Amino acid sequence: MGHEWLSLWSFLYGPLAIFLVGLYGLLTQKNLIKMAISINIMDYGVNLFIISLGYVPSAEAPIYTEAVKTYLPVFADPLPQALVLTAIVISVAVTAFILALTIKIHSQYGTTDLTKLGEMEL
Amino acid sequence: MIMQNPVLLIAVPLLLAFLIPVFSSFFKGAVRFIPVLAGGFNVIATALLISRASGSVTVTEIGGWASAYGISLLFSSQIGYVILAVNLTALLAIFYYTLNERDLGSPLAYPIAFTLALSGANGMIMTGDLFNLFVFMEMTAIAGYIIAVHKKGYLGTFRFVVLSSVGSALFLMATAALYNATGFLNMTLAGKSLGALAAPFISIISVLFIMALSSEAELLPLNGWVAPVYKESSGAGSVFFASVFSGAALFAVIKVMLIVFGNNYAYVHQGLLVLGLVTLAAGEAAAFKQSNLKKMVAYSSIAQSGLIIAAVAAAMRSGVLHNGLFSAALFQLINNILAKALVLLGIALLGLATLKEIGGAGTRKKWLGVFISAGVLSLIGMPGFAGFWSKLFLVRELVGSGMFVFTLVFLLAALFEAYYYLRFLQSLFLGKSTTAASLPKTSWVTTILLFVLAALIILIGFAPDVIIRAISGLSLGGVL
Amino acid sequence: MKKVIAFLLFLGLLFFLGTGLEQGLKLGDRNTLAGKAGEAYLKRTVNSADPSASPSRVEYSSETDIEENAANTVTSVVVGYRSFDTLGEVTVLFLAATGVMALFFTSGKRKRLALAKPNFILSVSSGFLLPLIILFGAYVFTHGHLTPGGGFQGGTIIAAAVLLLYMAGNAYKAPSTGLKILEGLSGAGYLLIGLAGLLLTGFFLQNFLPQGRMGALFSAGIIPVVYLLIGLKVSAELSGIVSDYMGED
Repeated sequence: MGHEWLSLWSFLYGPLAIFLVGLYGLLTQKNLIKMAISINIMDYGVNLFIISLGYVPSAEAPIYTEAVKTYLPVFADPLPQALVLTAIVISVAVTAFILALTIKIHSQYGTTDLTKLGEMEL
Repeated sequence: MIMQNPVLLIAVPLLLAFLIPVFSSFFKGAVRFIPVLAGGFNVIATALLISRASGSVTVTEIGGWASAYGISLLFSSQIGYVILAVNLTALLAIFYYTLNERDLGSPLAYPIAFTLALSGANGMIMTGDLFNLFVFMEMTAIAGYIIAVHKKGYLGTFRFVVLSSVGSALFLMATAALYNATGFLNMTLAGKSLGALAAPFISIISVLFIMALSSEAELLPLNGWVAPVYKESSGAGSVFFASVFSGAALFAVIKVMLIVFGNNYAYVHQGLLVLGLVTLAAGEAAAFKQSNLKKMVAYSSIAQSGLIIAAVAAAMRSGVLHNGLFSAALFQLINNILAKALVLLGIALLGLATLKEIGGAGTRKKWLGVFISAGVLSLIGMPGFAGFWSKLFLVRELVGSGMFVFTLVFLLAALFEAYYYLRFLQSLFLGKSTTAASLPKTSWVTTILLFVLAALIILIGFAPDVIIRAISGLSLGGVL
Repeated sequence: MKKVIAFLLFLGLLFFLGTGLEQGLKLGDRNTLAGKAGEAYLKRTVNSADPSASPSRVEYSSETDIEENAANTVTSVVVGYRSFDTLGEVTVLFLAATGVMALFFTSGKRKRLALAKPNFILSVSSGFLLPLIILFGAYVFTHGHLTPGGGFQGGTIIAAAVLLLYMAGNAYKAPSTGLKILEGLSGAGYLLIGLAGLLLTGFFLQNFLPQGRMGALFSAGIIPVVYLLIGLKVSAELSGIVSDYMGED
């Protein structure tokens, strides 16, 4: 019972909570850099969630080596790992862009505060 | 044999885009022609593929791997016409960029962005795999971010990036959850295995998918970026958003709904129906009050996206696909793609921003006025233009299925649209100009571009049979 | 007030999403590979008649005509079975580098970012750390099919070396045109391999080179070649992004 509860919390609710913390950050933060960080936190949460979906009890890493020469039914699932690999790269790409965008906003408007920018916009 | 492979629609622009930095160091002058080459190749290749395609879907396996485990692309004559509309408007936008807007930003970055946007949009339309859809969605999104800052619209783009990132995180969560529950990432197989799962799970997954795709498809709730980005975008950029991105994203939503959630999930489709109708109403109401031209078109675009999604959801709400309603929605999608491109290119050429400023411009530049009118009248649904047939088809199918509330909302929305678009035309032709600025000269090549689009719209308006038959298998006699 | 609403939304969504997802997911100890795509990837039986039932003929350093002969299954998924996704991912990074270039583009001359003067330890140690970092990065991406790692990881390590160069001494300037050409050519190379597969076998991105013996450096067909190209591309791209941020042209 404890084992089940633990895996529920660490595999589902934990990563979900991290994702929602990022979302909370997007809703409440006013500083553009903090919003960029919140987006990153959201992505961490989702990546953790995906990896934990690939957990197989007592699993080996899905790599064939001298020690593990043939197929065993207790390899960890390689597909979520491949998905996360791609997802991390994509999140790096978006972060690079959004930070450059923040720098340009700062150089054009002189501030990175969303409320001040909102007033300027009008 | 090789030319029949739909992968080329994605691979060739990709290859050309990768070669752009190489060319810019050795043959600098060639860089400007590469996006045109990519777009032109795609249009010709799509036409060839359509001529060899039939109504049934062909599956192309990438890498030769069985489609259950690998990635596959879907193509049929229906899909082909959507791709043709998207690629044709993209090609015209690229021409417009190459002729008029090359000095707006980095001359190296924008050919790359437009070419890759084209490739990504084709990928979104054709892919049959959920994670592949995610990757192409990200590709088009980032290309969209670059296109959105073409005229330094930084704040609108920031909002776009934030909303789009929320969407993509939700999509990823839903895809991974679906894999864990069903064991497949292929849309068809995941859809088949979905039946064994609990209803709350299915609802949540569907909500996540819709929210994720709603950002690029311009639907509520993640479409707050549309108006600011359209307002500050360049001419070619606005066409890419209205026709290429939103067309591809809408088709992707339709595909996910049809293939993954196709069998009997009435609650999913009914929720989507409500979402579509609310978006339609909100979009028309917002457009009604707008005096900025591009924002007006932006809200109109949002409303039309809502309409198309609502129609598709209505077609599937009884569990069995209603072919007539579905085909009507696809036809409306294609017409919107063409008409919006024409209107936005025209507005970009006028170079003016608000209703007051364009007063009388149509009388000073007659051809431009005529072309813009063709686009606008098609959007309203005036007889003689393509939009008339798609709206008629939609009304007939809606009434035939007994969806009277929907029909009422649709007709009200059409009235609103007619009002503000006719107000636009009135200002264009009959108004008095408040600015003394002289209108920019339009080169004859650009005029020909607009002529092509307008001619296509009028052609479909007078002889819609070819398209209707290809899309639905019905002929004109069956429509009326 | 807004924070209270956001916090309530947080709790509500956590509960709502969590309980809904819980009903369909196979979490933790309930998860098995049976019948999933992951199983077929591990057994290398994707193109067999019945992937979950076919016996796996995989044997490390013995068998030679297995489907995707990379010892690292994650690599064979990323660059073999789902290579199209990786092509998209490579393009996304390319777009990010292009986007950063588009944002920092000005027609005039750009001023380089002034960093704090590096301290003694940094400037001395970067001298001998640099070749080690680059070597390690190259090792990671050439051995991607044998051990954990691959093109993206190795490329990032090499880009970190470039960042170190920038931070350790104000005189370094990354060769941006050279980097752009490398980026473009390696990306085009990946696509040309895919198109070669299309011409030779009728399938785009088919693994058409000989598979070799699992565990050998030259095995798994096109996978090491593709990862090499990806490694070069990612290092060029990320170095380009770093130099754009530093204010170089």
